[in-house]
Amino acid sequence: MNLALKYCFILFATFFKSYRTLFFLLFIGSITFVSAQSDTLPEFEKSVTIQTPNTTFKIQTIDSVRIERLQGKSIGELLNQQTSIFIKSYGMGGISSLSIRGGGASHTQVFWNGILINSPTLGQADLSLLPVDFVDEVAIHSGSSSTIDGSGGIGGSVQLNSKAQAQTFFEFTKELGSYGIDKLSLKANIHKQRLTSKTVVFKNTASNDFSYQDYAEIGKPLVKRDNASTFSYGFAQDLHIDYDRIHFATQFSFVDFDRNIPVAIGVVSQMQNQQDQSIKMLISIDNKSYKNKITTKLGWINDVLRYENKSTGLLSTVKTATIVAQLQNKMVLKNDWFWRNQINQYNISAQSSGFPEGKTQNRTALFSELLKKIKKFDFSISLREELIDFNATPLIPTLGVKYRLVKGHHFYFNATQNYHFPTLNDLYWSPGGNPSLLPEQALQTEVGYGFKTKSKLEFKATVFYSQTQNWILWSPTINGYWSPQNIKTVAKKGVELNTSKKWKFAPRKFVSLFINYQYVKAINLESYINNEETIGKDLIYTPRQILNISVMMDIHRWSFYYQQTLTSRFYIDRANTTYMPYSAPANVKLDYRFAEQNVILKVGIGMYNIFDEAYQLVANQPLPGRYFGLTLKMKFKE
Amino acid sequence: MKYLVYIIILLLLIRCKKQEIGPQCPSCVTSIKSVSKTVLIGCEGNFGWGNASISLYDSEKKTVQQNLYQNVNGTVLGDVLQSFHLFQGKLYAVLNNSGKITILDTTDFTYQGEISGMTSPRYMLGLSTSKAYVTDLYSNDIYIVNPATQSIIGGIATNHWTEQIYQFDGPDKVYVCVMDTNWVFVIDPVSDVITDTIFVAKSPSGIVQDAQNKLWILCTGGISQELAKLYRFNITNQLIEQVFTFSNLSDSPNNLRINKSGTELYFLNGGFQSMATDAPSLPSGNVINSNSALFYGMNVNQSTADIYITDAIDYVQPGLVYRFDSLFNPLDTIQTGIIPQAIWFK
Repeated sequence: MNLALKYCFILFATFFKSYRTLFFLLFIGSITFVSAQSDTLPEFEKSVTIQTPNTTFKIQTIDSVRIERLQGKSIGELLNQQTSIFIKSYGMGGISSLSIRGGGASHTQVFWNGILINSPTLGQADLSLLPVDFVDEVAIHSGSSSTIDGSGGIGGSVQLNSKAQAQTFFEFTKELGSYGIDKLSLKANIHKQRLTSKTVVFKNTASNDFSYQDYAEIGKPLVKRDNASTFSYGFAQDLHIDYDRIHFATQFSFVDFDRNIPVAIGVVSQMQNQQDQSIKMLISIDNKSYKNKITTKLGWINDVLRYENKSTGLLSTVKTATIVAQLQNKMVLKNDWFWRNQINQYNISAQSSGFPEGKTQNRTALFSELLKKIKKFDFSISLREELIDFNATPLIPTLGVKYRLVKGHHFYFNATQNYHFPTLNDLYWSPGGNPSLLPEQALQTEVGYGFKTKSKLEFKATVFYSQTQNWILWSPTINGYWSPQNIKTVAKKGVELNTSKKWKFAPRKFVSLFINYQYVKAINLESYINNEETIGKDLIYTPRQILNISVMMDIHRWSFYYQQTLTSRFYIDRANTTYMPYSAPANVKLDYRFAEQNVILKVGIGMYNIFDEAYQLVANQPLPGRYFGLTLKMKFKE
Repeated sequence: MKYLVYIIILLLLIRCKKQEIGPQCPSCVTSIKSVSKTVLIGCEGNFGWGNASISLYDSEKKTVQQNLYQNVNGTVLGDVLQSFHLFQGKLYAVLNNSGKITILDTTDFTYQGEISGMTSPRYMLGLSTSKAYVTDLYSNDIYIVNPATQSIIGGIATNHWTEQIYQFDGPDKVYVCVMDTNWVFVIDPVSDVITDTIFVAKSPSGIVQDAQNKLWILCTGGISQELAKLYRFNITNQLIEQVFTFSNLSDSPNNLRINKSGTELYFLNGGFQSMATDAPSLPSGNVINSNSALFYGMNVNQSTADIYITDAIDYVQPGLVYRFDSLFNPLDTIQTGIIPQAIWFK
């Protein structure tokens, strides 16, 4: 299978090698076509939405029902409990980054309501900063499918969307738990005819002073985690107005996260603290007609990170600001053709101790996608071109095919040549920044099979292979500082299995089961470092297997949730001599629901890491054993 | 639903007892065998990862045993093993990012105690049964410690990052490199007072004493901030006698060592370079080329004259140590822990 995938890929790459000109012609043609079409569109008809054809990509979504079960958690914790993505977490409230299909943290592009929120300096998004309460839908686009969102998602991309709910309610949630967990969340959703407003306010604190075995001390005593407390608060406001065929939305979020950073076992306490402030604003206008939808977005993201090490006196501030403009149109054409075009403009400015004078970057992305239905086949072809500081970058072509076998059963195939461009730190950090870095170039293919039955059983199996050249690594130099270089070539192959099943026995009696499994083997194929020990070895922090099972059970007034993650051992040095052992933490939650007319009261108890497992996901960074949380939730509906 | 409650109560009674907690290195777990010619290779480990280690090399049989400290004492060593110091029959391992010095028996390497409470210790110099100095990266002090009571008993304010520390064989003076300046402090070890400052180039990193009782001071020049320089200092008249200036801003010489007879200087500058103490100029090239290896640490066995050069490779995999004889012929390549740096010969 792997060989077949490789051949497909070579064919695909050859075909698209010199087709940049074609893309520009297509893109310019599409814009011209849209402007020409707009006059000839039929009269607006009420309640019509543009029907996007079936995607040829594998997209995994987590809906609001599953998200609600994890209210008060971060997006990192949500993905850890609901997907087979590996989350490299430093603990409750600690920094967490994700790895999809063996990619690095910067190889996953994270989008908030369609705009990229990865740090332009580090290249990755800290998922601990994003509370679940702000999000109503999460979609994971693994591998090739990430190119429909943007470039650089060599591992994949994650879409975090907040959506308006067509109901009026007020919700109060309070959670108290072990290790000083104290969470408060208020949500108000107002829906009046054409207007919907959603307001969310949250405040979370935790002391995180759990006990762990300090194996760096003689006698291995039990000690309390020091300097690990967190305090965060935030506010989000969405406003949606529907007027005629126009949908107008403003979305705003503010998060302030103040956390002390504990040290690894064996490291002297350093009283480190990190304060993150993040503001995101977005104005969007959808103009829908019978066969055409134009979306205009204007966004602003402002992030400030202040790091302090009180022991060493080290202070560091990173400020980034991004202005985003996006124009997108979707068109249904004759004969089952569908056409989507997008222009993205990102104006980035950043300042840090690595470049105190500040740096700016201008990124323009042009994207065009054609979808066509021919009998039982769905075809998708897309091209993406990015201009970085007005310099053209290699074209990103993506091809997808889906074959609908019988009702609900289908096969799919996708291939792309994606590029991940160096971050501002890679290019400009002083000392060490390397302006001559090449982008990481990834060839990706996948084939899959899936089905969905009337009995609400869903299954998807995907086999993937990718090869990334010019992988960027920071490595030491003889001058005593580190510098990024295009060091190596990495091959990643694996299998993903996703199953869900829902049993409904009575109106308020059902069981849902979700099983996600991932096998990934990500190895170094070649390296410019003068040592052969790493060739053929696993990438560090890349577990080969992750299994995630969650069961949700609703029986009258009771709700039960069980979640189990199994992560296989993974290596923490490139020669694969040292590994982190497997871990299998599990969580349960039991809720009781009182309902009285328009008031719903829910009382719940959560037990986390129920088997009291001593485990770590980052070397020598202990995670808490068994702990508890009590939740009270009140919902007042109109 | 009551069954669910029973299940939850049952879950509370189950406890997972794992054998493996934290990083595991099966190939490093051995029962340590005694060796005839001991060479200890101190491996820094990654900063903040808590994975410092010691490799035990038998220079006669050319065998190596990893994770010496953990295998002997059952606990992990700590974070960033910066240097070793032998003093009054005990070996002091300075653990920079653990803020402590772990004391080992030099025969069986068992734990003998520790001096903790430091910020970022770098090098130690024993002065008497009850006094030793410890330089530090961030504390702005040189710690005065009592090896007998294993405690900090005072400090000498420096307001800077202090690095290599050296006690001159003749007059009772201690010389300390002040890494983030262009100074070398001269300290009176009786009164614990800074009595003089030698002005040199940026970032003095090493001091040795030659056969003529001259001090040689090597300055890296900072991170491409100024040209690196090597000084010969006359301690009798307290004057700099000669300055050798490296030609390129990218030169970053480090790890200054001297042979047993005190006539040949050794240092790393990308490759390994050698220079006679009476040479009129700096060496024109390497006597041992790095060949793309990352030469990181170096020491000379004063009894055999063998040269040991460490290779940190990419900092994220076990490193190597290359052993050469006094004529720079290769003798052995030794596998070590991550980021080998400090080398101690018994």
